[in-house]
Amino acid sequence: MATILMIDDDADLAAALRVLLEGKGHQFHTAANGELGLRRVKETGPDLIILDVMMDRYTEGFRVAQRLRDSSDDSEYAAYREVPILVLTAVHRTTSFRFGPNEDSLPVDELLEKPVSADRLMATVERLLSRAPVRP
Amino acid sequence: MVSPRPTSQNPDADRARSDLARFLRIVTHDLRQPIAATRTIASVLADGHAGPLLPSQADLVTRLERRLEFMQALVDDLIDLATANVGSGVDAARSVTPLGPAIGEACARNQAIAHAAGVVVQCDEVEDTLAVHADAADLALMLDNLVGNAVKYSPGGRVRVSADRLSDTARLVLADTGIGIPDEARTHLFEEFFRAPNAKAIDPLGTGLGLAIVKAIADRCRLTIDVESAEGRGTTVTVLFPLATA
Repeated sequence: MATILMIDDDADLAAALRVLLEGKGHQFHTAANGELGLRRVKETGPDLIILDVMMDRYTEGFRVAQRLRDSSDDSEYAAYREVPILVLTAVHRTTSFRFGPNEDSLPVDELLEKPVSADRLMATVERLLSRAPVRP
Repeated sequence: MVSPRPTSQNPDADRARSDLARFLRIVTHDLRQPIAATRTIASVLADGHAGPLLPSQADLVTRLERRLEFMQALVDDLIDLATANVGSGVDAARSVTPLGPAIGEACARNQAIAHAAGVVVQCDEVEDTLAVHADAADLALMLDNLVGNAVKYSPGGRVRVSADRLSDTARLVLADTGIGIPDEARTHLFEEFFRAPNAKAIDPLGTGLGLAIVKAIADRCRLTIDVESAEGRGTTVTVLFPLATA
């Protein structure tokens, strides 16, 4: 089973995802803002990161994604560069930022717009976990 | 035939856009996000991930999901209406947007809903060079609402979307075989939150903002809209855009 880190300031949504993901046998960790989230990445070594965009700051999730995908070899997050990132956001309609694996957009693997149904979220999580890098 | 009356332009558009951006951030974070989170929580319950529900509990959760869906639609439409009123700041007269691809994308976005409602959406081929002076985001929002409305109110029927050149304008035509508009409803068609009785019967939880959004864009971009309809037989919406060279 996998370790999943959710970086999101919505404690109620996190509680729902905890029920959902722990119910499938995954280990589930949370962080309520980007700074704490980056620390928790190093502490928990997640197989998947579920990332909100609007937290303490409007585009906080963007910065987290960029830090994690920093391509320089001396990045403190280099070991987590390949960890899949699933963006879960309500901000999609009000920003011109684009998300996705292309070079012109933010470096994340999937984007789901809130609200997302439990079944769709689970299917996306399992798909991303199936291509997550194998950890020693 | 019904045409929306144009309203005056905002004299301080930049300030309005700045206020709008702030408003959208607040609405998105403080209103849309909690509703979205609550819908996911309801979905976890409804799908049985927190354990099996008794029939009475399942019924209540279904009602909860339906009301939350309406609240979300209302917030989304209010965001769209605010955006439609103020615009992105792009000068429509300097924007050149090909009409054919915009129509195709709007039809594609509505295809799943149409399929579920048994509606056939036909997008006629549009001349490659047919382009209009309109911001692409405005055009997409307008088309989404027009195509979405036509699909929603034509269950089991057909929607045909076409466009052609008419003198110095581009003419967009959406013709559906839906429920039509009662005569007494025509003068209120573009009013915010107005819903005709036969529309309410088909979709009790509609917001009544779709055509208000269309009117707001048409007013700001100085487009002409005509609506012809016969109750029980269908509706044809025609929009005239300033013609541009693609």
